[in-house]
Amino acid sequence: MERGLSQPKTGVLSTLGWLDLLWLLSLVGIPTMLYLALVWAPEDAVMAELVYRATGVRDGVAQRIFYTHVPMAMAAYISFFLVFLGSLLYLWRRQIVWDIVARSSAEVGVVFTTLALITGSLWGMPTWGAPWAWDARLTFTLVLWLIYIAYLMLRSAGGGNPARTARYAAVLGIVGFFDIPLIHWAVVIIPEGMHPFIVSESRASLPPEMLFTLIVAILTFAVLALLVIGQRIRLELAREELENLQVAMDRERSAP
Amino acid sequence: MIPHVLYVLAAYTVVWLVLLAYLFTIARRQASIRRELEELQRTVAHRQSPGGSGPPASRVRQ
Amino acid sequence: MAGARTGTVSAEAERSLPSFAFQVWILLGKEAAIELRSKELLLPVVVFAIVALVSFHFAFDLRGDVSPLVAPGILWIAIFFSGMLALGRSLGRETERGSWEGMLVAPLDRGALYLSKALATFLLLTVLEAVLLPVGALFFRLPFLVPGLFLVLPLGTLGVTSVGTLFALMAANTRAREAMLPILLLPLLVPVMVASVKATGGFIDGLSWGEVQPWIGVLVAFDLIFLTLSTLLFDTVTEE
Repeated sequence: MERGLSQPKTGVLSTLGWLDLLWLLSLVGIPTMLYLALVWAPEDAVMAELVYRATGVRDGVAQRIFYTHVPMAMAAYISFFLVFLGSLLYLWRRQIVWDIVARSSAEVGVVFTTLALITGSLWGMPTWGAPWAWDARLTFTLVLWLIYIAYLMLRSAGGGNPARTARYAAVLGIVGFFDIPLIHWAVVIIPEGMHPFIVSESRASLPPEMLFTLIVAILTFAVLALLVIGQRIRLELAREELENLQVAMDRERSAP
Repeated sequence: MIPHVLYVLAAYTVVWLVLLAYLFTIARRQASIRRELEELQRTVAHRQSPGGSGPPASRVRQ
Repeated sequence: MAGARTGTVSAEAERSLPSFAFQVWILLGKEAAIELRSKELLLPVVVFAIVALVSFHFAFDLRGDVSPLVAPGILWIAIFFSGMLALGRSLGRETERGSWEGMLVAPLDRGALYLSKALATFLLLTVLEAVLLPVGALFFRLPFLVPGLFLVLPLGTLGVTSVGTLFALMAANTRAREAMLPILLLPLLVPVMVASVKATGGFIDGLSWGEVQPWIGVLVAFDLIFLTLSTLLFDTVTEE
């Protein structure tokens, strides 16, 4: 598998392999993102005012959590889209690789969703004075988290039939993805539409420096998500190869 | 009253610690599987040619 | 007697593959005939819902002013959990008794099989609601007798049975199936829960149509998307 990637020695990209390229991008992106988010980006007056009104403290620094919180959620959405894609391709082609893509992405997606929920709570503490206030977007993230935890539980509860487990998981991967816009509609769009005041306040236009920082952060974590998923897929492929080899050896031993 | 900087610090620390730990466990599992795989390939090669000649990797493909 | 009747149905089906709608109709008739004779699902589900109402009374003391506030939640929690009970039993007993394999061998469209199961559970829950509403209104003083509920109830109930039928069959084939069904189903049904409770509350509070209409939109979209998707995917779940 690895040899296959590095065999054609034409050009820099093909010798590196796409995982190495993602590693390289992360090595550039991570320090850049950290510098922009923690030092370079200014603190927004509107957000600081919101914090002051909620907690009585004049301190806008908590808003910097956003540069790691929003990209976590985005990385999770990318992962869940890959779960959907892997599930669809598995049901169509019935190749184990696509099931591996789906299950690897689901696990990584749950990790990123967990981090989005933790950073959201750490933002909520100074902003609302409480770790959880059933904020519409955080609630939406929580529901996605539950769906993909159920996905992982379904996989582990499958019992002795791997092909059936893969099929069931694929069905959940597809149904769950179609459910996402409906959850967003019911939990975020309609409730916010009913309170236009809050929307206009929180959606105050971002200054260009903040927007730039946020975009760099989102891109960095998107690359990182693909990198982690790639590593996870490589692990599952190696495990699959090992199992196949063990089965082949057992067969050879029983029929000499 | 906890200074707000600490929340920022906590958020960034948690994110990077969790991601690094996760990548680390993946790498560790990968290494152990590779070790097992190589061991298996060696025994296969050993069984197929009792003299033990020839590279083990080329034998596995059969 | 019933076995002979089912036998003629599949024999008929073999001779001239009936249309999709006709297959659904025949299978639905089969489900209804079995249920009317045994009442194996209806009885436990109705008793469960009544027991739940009594528990809600002790939990919230429904005599006071809280009744209109908690009524929509009580109604839908009772329907959701009765629904999961019915779905778990209905598909669990098919796999336990092995009657499901017979159905899969018959020359039937798997989509028709799915729709008949989903509609049978929908009808079962509708009967349950016909009991639940007057009992809740008369004995628990819950404001359940509002015309708008006749719109929300079928839409929300269809939402529960649409995805529910698909995942109840999956859960029936896993370890820890009783725990698996709610774990799989409740997060997926969040839009149905939110929209049904909000719409029910809106009708009870006498809000204008414009304020309730977005929630009805969510329910209609959910039902259409997941009835179609589940009909298509049921084939994959049942293949062995």
